[in-house]
Parts: sequence; C-alpha cells; structure tokens
Amino acid sequence: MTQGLENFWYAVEHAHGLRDQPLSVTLLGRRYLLFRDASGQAHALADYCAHRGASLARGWVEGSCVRCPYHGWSYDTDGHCVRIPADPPGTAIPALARMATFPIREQSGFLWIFPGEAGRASEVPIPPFPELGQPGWRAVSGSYTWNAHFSRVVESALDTSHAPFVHRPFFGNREDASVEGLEIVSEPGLVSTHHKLKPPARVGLLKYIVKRKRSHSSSTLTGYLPNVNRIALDFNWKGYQYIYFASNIPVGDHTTLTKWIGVRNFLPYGWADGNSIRNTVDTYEEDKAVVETQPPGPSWSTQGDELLLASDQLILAYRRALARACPSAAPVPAP
Amino acid sequence: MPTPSPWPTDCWYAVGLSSQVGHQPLAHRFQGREVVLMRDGAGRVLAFDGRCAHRGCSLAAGWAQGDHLVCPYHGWQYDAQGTCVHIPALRAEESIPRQARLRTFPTRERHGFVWLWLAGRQASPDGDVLDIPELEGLTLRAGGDMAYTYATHFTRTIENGIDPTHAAFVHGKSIGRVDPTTDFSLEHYPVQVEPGSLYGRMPIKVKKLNGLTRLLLKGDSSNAYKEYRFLYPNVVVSIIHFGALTLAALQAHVPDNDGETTVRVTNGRNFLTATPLLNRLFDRITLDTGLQISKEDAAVIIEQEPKRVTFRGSHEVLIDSDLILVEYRRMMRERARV
Repeated sequence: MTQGLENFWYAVEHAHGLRDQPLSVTLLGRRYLLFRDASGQAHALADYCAHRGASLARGWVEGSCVRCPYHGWSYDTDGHCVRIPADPPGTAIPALARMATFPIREQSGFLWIFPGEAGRASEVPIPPFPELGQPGWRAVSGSYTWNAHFSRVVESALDTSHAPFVHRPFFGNREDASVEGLEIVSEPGLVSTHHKLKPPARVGLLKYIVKRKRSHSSSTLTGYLPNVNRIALDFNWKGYQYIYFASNIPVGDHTTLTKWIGVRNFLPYGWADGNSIRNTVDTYEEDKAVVETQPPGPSWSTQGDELLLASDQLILAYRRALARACPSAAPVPAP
Repeated sequence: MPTPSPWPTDCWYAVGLSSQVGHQPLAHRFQGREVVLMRDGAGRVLAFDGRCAHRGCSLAAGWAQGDHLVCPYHGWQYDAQGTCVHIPALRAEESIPRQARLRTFPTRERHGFVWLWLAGRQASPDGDVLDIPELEGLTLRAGGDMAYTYATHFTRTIENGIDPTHAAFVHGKSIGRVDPTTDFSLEHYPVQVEPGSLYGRMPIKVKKLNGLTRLLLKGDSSNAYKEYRFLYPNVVVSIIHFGALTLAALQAHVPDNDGETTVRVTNGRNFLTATPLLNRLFDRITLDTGLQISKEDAAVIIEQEPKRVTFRGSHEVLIDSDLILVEYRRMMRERARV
C-alpha cells in the first residue's frame, strides 16, 4: 500500500449516501465504518470489531450506538464498547473493547474522514465546492471504479492534451491538437490551470442551448491534494458551465473508487439530469479504457521511463506538489 | 531448511464425505493443492496428490481402471501406493522412471467422513481417528450431507463453528428470532480439554423455532442445551438437545487454501431415523436449514480481519463466554505451533 498519504481529508461517500444503515468504506487498504446517530450526526470508526475483527456494516444503529452483527456488541460514538450481550449483567467491559475513531466532516456534498494524526486534521483544508447548493445550479452525482492507482486517475483529469484522442465525440479535431502554453497555478494543497479549447461538439442537449459559432470554450482543471479533481467547463456562451468535482478514493494500490458530483447552471431541471450523467459516465469510460493500461502503482514511480512534455506541465506540478506535501509517498525530487 | 508448513501436520484431517466417495476419482482442494479420493475394489478409500508426476496436470478429471488411477492427459496409471505402473507412450526399450510417483496419504473412514493423515515428522499415523462419545445413540444420515465454501481461512470457520453466542444475532431467520429485550447472557460453562479434542456444553439461548422444525421438535423444549466438540485440527461436532430429541451436525472444515474453506457437513439424530417418508423429509429440512445457516454465517465471517486467526499476540478481546475459543487458540499454539 502506498504509504505517507494518511494526513489528508478524504471524501469517502456522498453526504446523501449515508442514511440509517451503517456503511463500510475502504481507504488505503483499511476499513472505516460510517454511521449516523439518532440526531443525524455522522461518525467514523475503524471497521474492525474489537472482539473478533468483524465488520459492522451489516450491523445496525440503536440510538447513538452502533451494533456488531456477529455477537451484538454495542459501540458508542467515541468507539467505546458499552454493551456485551453474552456477558452476565454487572460484568465489567474490558478497557480494550473499543474501536478507534476518526475525525469526520460533512462538507462540499461529501463525508470526509481524516485517517492520519487526528491532531493535524484541523490544519488541513477540505477542498471547497462553492457552486454546490447555490441557486441556479443543479447537481447530479454518481460513482465508478477503476483498476488503477488513484494517481493515474487524478492525472487523467489534469491532462490538457488527451481530449481530441480519448474524447472524440466532444473534441473530435485530432489535426489541431496542439496545446498553447499553460500558466500553472500552484498553491499549498492544489495545482490548477486555465486553458482554452476548441469549442466542443454540440452533443446531446448542448445542441439546443449553445450557439454553433464560438471562437473557443475553456476549462479550468484543478487537482486538490491528494485525490480530488475539479473540472470547470465554460462553454463561452451565456456563462453556461458544467463543473465536475470528484473524489478518487484510493481503495488499494490497484483500485480507485471515484465518487463524483457534477453541477450545471444551464437547464437546471430534473429532465436534463440524465444527459449530464450520461456525458460524465461516457467520458469516464473513454478515460478508463486508456488509464487502466498504464503501468500499475503510483504514477511517479515510473516517471523516469515517461516522456513528459510542456503540455504535461500540470501533471508534473501535481507530482511535485504531492512530493512536497508527503515526501515519503512521492519521492520525486522537487526542482 | 524448508519453511515449516503453515498447516497443522501429524494429524488426521477429515477431508471428504463418505457418501460422496465412490470408485471413480473425486478431487477436493486441500491446502493449496488437490487430493483425489477413490475406492478400490475392496471399498477402501485411496487418497492421492492431485497432480500427475508427468506434466503436472490435474488428476481431477482422471478415472479408475481397476484399482489404478489413470491420468486424463497421457493415460499414466498409478497404483494404490502412488507408483506409476503403466505409461502408454513408453517404448519397449524404456522403463518407467522411478520418480514417476504420486504422494499418497493414509486414510480412514469414520463418523461419515474420509480422513487423511498429513505427515510432518510422523510418516505414518501414530494414532487413530478419535471417538466422538456424544454420537452414541444417534444414527448418522447422509441424506442431508452438504458442502459450503467460505471465502476465509479455516481457523475463522472453525471458531464460528464452536462459537456459543452468535446464533441469536446471526441466525434470526433460520433458527428463530428472539425478542431484543431477551437476556442473551451466557453463564460460565466448563470446557474439557483432552488430547486432540475440546468439549463444551452450554444452555441454548434460542428457544423459538420456525416452521416445520418447530412442529417436529415441539417435544419437551424446557431442557434445551447444546454441546460442541472440536477434534484437532479441523472437525467440529455441534449437537443440540431439545428434551428427548438430539440433532448433531458433524462439520469437516477443509482448508482449500489460505483464503477459502469448504465445510462438509453430515448429520446424526435420535428420531425420525426409520419412519418411511418422514425420515427423508427431515433430511431435506436438515439440508435446507444447514444451507441457510451457512449463508448467514458467511455474510459476517468472510469480513473478519485478519482472515487467519492470530494465535499469538492477537488484539482481539475474548470474554468469558468465549472460553472454548480461548482453549482452541491455546491448542493451536501448543499442538500446531502456529
């Protein structure tokens, strides 16, 4: 498992994905249990029952406690076991009967957990998603998996030159695929660039709402360390935008689970949701076909064998930022 | 020095169900390999390693010719000692190489199972398959024989098999759901530790029964208790008593490999053993209930981490009612040195 990535907030589930039933998520090879107490507040515990290592995902919530499906042990929101049904009344509960707790926040449409040193959680920012929930913006969401390291997935959405080849339906012009000089923004915790595109083909509903003749459209690609992508597509027409915000969850070294939210400020109606979802999933499938063929493991581990060009600057900036933030995870020398 | 096997050795493993083994070879996965079981002309069970000495193909699809096992690839024939005695492609001037042999295992047939001796330091058995005194007075019936494969290590399925306190939580559907206000506490019970065996007896906490089981078992259920016997290294016998009625499930927890275990089950009881039709009906009920219980257990135990029980230095918190598990872990540490 890739080490050194613990001290970040990870969006592991959509906020609306956690209801009455506890939920187990796997992050960096470890299981975490999410559940909501009676007041709706979310909690995160290490999902290994202290008794015999079972998962509590098939358990149930009772008041502010969560119970193991195997022998009914009951844990409170601090992870302390408060009831062992097989023990006769009056038996003391062993001090070791507890599950570790983790900081959890509900923000930007997701549930975020902090698997590292809890004391550092408050100084690490959670990526913002200011458009979400604002009037005039309509959200759709979904998830998909990749048989790839999360760094390859993040980089596929920081890639400024693949669109004409991988995403032909939208960006068909392969003869005119050169990328202008990129201006890279690199701030603590993020890398970003804004670049102009040939206007994408007016596919699906875009046909009806976007004018044919436009000089360009643009996109702002942002990578938040270590695993969040934001793609803001500006159609250069009436301010219409589609913003894709995705948490690419490192489940294990070879598996990435993406939980995404997309918001648009055009056609903010339910009947147009299917079109947004379809376009997003189609794009994923096009990327997946290529990304899963890249070498396994962290992208930076094969850097010496790769040929990165000026048009790959954002990817390089991402690797450098990650190397600075967690040198033990990404041993790429900073320039 | 070779790495010591992670599996207990110098002991009898129950591997197959007697009812399933006939004169044609039957292959079972075992500890990352395969063993092939078949009966010779006298009805004795032979056990071979499942890979042909020639080119390593599986003998699972092989066949018996007399008392010989024939490889399906090039027709090599092995006798009961595992010695290759015929190679169809051999030229007249060639002789059968001495290395053309299969490993074989000493076998026994008892308690409805085929057992094989896994040699470590002891090439041949230094004892016999143990008696199971609790089976006295019961009739073993093959009509409910079943197998279920769990995606976990056999130490986890065995611990689940002798676990006295999970039924109320895991088996609500198949055995009977209990009022959540019920007292689930289990009083202290003694565990007898014998050479190669453990025995415990506990009161039964699930007394409400569903469906036909309830009709057939409506005898005197006030005196309800269960017994568990573990036979090192891989057999669990679980016996329930409702008044005068006794039902036993004999389970062979066969380690297919590090991550999978096939549990083969046969049953015994002291009622409906000879009544025409009803005996078959109850076999069927036993089978259906057994499968349902297995599915309910699997949903929980395949998620246990680590997959293999840690016998030394585990952080798991075992309590008084887990005493039989504590003794199981002690036996595994001391006998299996794991």
